[in-house]
Amino acid sequence: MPQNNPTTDTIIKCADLTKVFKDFWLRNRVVAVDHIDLEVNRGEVFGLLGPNGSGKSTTIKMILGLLHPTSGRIAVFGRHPREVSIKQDIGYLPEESYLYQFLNAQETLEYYGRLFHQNRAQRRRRIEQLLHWVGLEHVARRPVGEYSKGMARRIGLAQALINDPQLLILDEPTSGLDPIGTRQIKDLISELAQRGKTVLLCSHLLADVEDVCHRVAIMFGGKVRKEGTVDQLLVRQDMTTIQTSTLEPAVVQEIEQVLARHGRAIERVDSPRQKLEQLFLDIVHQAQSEGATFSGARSGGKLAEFLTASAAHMPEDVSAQELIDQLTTPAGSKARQRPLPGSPAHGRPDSQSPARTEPGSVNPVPAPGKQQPPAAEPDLDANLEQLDRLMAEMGVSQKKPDARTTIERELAHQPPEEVVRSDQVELPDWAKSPRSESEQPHKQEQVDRSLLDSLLKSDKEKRKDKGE
Amino acid sequence: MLSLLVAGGAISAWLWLTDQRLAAIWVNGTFDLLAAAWLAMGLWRWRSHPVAGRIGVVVAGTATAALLCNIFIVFERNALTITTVGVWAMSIGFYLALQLARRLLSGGWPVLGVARTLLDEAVRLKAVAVLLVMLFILVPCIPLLIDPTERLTYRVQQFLTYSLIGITTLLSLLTIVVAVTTITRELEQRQIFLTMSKPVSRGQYLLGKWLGMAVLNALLVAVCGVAIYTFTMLLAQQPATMPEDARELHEQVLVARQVVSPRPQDPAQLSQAFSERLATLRQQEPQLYGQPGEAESALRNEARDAIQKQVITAWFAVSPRSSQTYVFRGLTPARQNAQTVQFRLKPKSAGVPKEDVVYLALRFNNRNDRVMTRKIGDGKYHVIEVPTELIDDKGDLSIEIYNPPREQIDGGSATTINFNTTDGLQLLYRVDSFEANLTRAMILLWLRLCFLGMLALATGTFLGFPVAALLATLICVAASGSSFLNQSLSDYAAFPKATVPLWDRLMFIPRGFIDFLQKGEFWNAFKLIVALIGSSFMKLVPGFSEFSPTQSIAYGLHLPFHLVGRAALWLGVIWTGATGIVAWLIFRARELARVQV
Repeated sequence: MPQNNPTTDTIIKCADLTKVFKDFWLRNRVVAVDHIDLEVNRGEVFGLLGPNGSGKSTTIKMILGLLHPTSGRIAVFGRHPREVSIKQDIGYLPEESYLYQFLNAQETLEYYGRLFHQNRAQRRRRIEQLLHWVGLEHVARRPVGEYSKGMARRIGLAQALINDPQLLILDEPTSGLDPIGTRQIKDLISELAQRGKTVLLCSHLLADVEDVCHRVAIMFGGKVRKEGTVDQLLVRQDMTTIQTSTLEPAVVQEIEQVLARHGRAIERVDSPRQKLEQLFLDIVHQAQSEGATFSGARSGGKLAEFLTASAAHMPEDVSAQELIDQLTTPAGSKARQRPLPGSPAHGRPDSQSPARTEPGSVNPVPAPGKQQPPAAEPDLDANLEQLDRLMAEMGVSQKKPDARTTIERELAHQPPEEVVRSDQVELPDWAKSPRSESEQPHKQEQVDRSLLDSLLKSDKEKRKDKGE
Repeated sequence: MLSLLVAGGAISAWLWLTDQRLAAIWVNGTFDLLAAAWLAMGLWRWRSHPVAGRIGVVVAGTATAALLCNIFIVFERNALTITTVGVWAMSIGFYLALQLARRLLSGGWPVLGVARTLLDEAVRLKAVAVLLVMLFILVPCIPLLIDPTERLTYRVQQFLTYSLIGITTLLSLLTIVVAVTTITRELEQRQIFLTMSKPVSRGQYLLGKWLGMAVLNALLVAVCGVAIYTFTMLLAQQPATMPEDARELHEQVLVARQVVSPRPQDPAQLSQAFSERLATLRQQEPQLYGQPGEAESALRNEARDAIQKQVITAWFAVSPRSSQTYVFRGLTPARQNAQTVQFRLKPKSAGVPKEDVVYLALRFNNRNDRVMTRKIGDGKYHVIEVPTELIDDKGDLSIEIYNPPREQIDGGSATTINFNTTDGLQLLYRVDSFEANLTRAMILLWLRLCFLGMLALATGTFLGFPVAALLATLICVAASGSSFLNQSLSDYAAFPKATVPLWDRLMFIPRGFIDFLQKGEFWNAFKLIVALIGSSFMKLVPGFSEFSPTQSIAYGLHLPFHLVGRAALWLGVIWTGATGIVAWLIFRARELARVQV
């Protein structure tokens, strides 16, 4: 869950915004956006949620000045949305990557770089870094028209970042991307938020929004139906989740007794399921490492096909030597080597040490769940300590990375989200966000981060130079 | 590779010196082949690298052209060889110039960025590729199509006319296609969303697109100009049918000649003729021309125009046994710089002369020692060389044309001889070279394409591809034939002149329309409406006719700098600017995204 506190500096402000589409005879045909008020603050990841046709894209297009509001006002950086100067700080990824089919990746980014008055050297550097980051450097000379949707999406993302934008507007950023790309985008969004950038995210993929957004507005029929922080909207204030390694039924019973003393009962005992996304990332990673050792043996299979198709656009494909080279370049040397503050999507870093769960070893252990009515007010801290002690006595170490059992209990007033989050299976190292203390920090991860670092930093420095 | 060449050269040189000539040739050839193969391999290996790719294109094009040339040389088709070399030179020249232009436009400015992307788009569009191939094949192929038994002068004139018309048409088409496609496609495929969410104003966007078009056209016009010049020179070196033919070519086509039109000796002569004619007409038809003795200013404009036309036509006619004097003024530069001036005339007999020839006697500067008689083909242009020493100190040359009675010469009947009022009688003298003239012609063509590019962009801002392309083409065609169209329209249905008061002009159409309807002349009423629509359209269309260089180049007529300047002002600044502002206003106001709910 996002931790940082956005400042109250307003980046986008929509007041009483309405867009009515008229037909040929100027009769009102559709009210696409119906008197909405929105405020996006600096450093915030704001999610605009809603089903297809709920007015999300129309709102975004009005914010970008591509559509004119029928009534109401919009201010972006305090200015009119069609003012050219504000575009200097905006990065936009449309719902589909509308690219010039006849240009190649390099030329595409060159073009957008030119629009930002970037000189040749600046463009070269940024484009090289961006292409590496989105993993398209090997196909940089192929016409964009030949790209798969996911590759085009990556170029779209690269062009949105070419100016180190203060405000990033992403319309369905993960559509058409494979899970690896999706994860990369989510990491990027979190990373940008960490660096104080503002992100306006528009999506109907709820999981994406939930993972990265600080605040969301849910739109339907052109109106904002509900708005608030993700915590406000999603966290169940009446539940606590405890996670530990697999427990014997006897132990569970013993815990139950402890809880019973405090008037609580176990509602559910089970083994956490891995998220499909995670499983996928694991399998791909494993297949890739095998592919590296048995070169040429990859043939036919669905997964292998996917890999060959996307091998060129996967950062994981970069060879170790190249990575080291990259790391030693001046741009790379600027990179922070210490573990970065992690993205909020991946749980509390200090709560668990990573436990790699092999996909095959996930064996749900069904445990009898009992339900008892809640009783008197408990001493919560004491409760938890007691549980901890009990488990230690029974020789169940939280650090043992075998399997885990989740116990859900009705424990009030405990900030529960971190515990809930930690029931995710650990990420494989290469897909992990930097904050989690992975045991074997993956090189690729560091490269990406350092690249991003230098990408964002170099421009900032440039601007600082300009200012001074 | 260099070492291979050097080693091969050294060994073969040694073999050559030791008298083993055959071996020397073999060794040299083998090493050269090896070097070429090595180069080709290298280019293939690094083909994804832009520089290697560019060199590869040039090498591949050159190799193909060389292969074709060798085949043609073996089969002794020299004309085809020259054509191939021409196509190769034009393509390679354009390709290199394009790379240079892309480099020039690579600065970090939004306008340049848009312009450069337009260049990239233009040369990668299929329709444009087809047009470019046609363009590069057209100029070198025209000489093949011209009948080699014709007179040389005529062949060169044909080549110049066809090639200029050809490139004007193809380049206009190319400009419309590229400009309309680029803007409508970006709106339709929404690449414009991305461009417009960058710090680029809509004006900069349009300006960039136009700049790209202008640069592309400049490249193409330059390449075509050089090609036309080269092929003209190659054609001019072909054997002439007769010695005069070659001289004529150099004196009448491959020059830039100033044209002087005749004036009456006495300036009052024509106005006097006008008054006389008016008096006669007033006696005959007072209802049309007013009562005799009325002031001339009371005359209706149409009537005045008609009488003026009659008077001038009469002045350009020489009746039998009489003469007419024509004075050409302002010839001082010719007197200083040239040996002779050319007196060009096209007599047209009123009747059907025997053997299709007319006889004329000419007297220069009223001097009886300067008289010549000529037998001239009826209705054909004829050029008489006049020594410049005949021009007097004021720079005037007067030529009296005498129409001798036929019976005096061959017993034929007497007929009046008429001269076309526009170019039936002209005095020409050389003022500039063909090269400079062709350059100015190319600049005129480029200016016209610049306007056309902006026009096509403007139509693209608010119309879809097919309609925008059609509209731009329609305006282009109307503008090219503006003088002809205006003439036809005024002949088609009578229309009040600009000097008539505004109110009368406005009321003319409804009044005339009702008149015709009352008289039951529905066809005339319909014609009036057609004329209204046509002339309103033509009012909005700029005239290209004045700036069309084709005739001037083919007939070796001087295209003065002030014409180029006027074209730059009208086409380049006023019309392009006005169209650009309209395009900008439309584009600025419109919503770029569309409804999707």
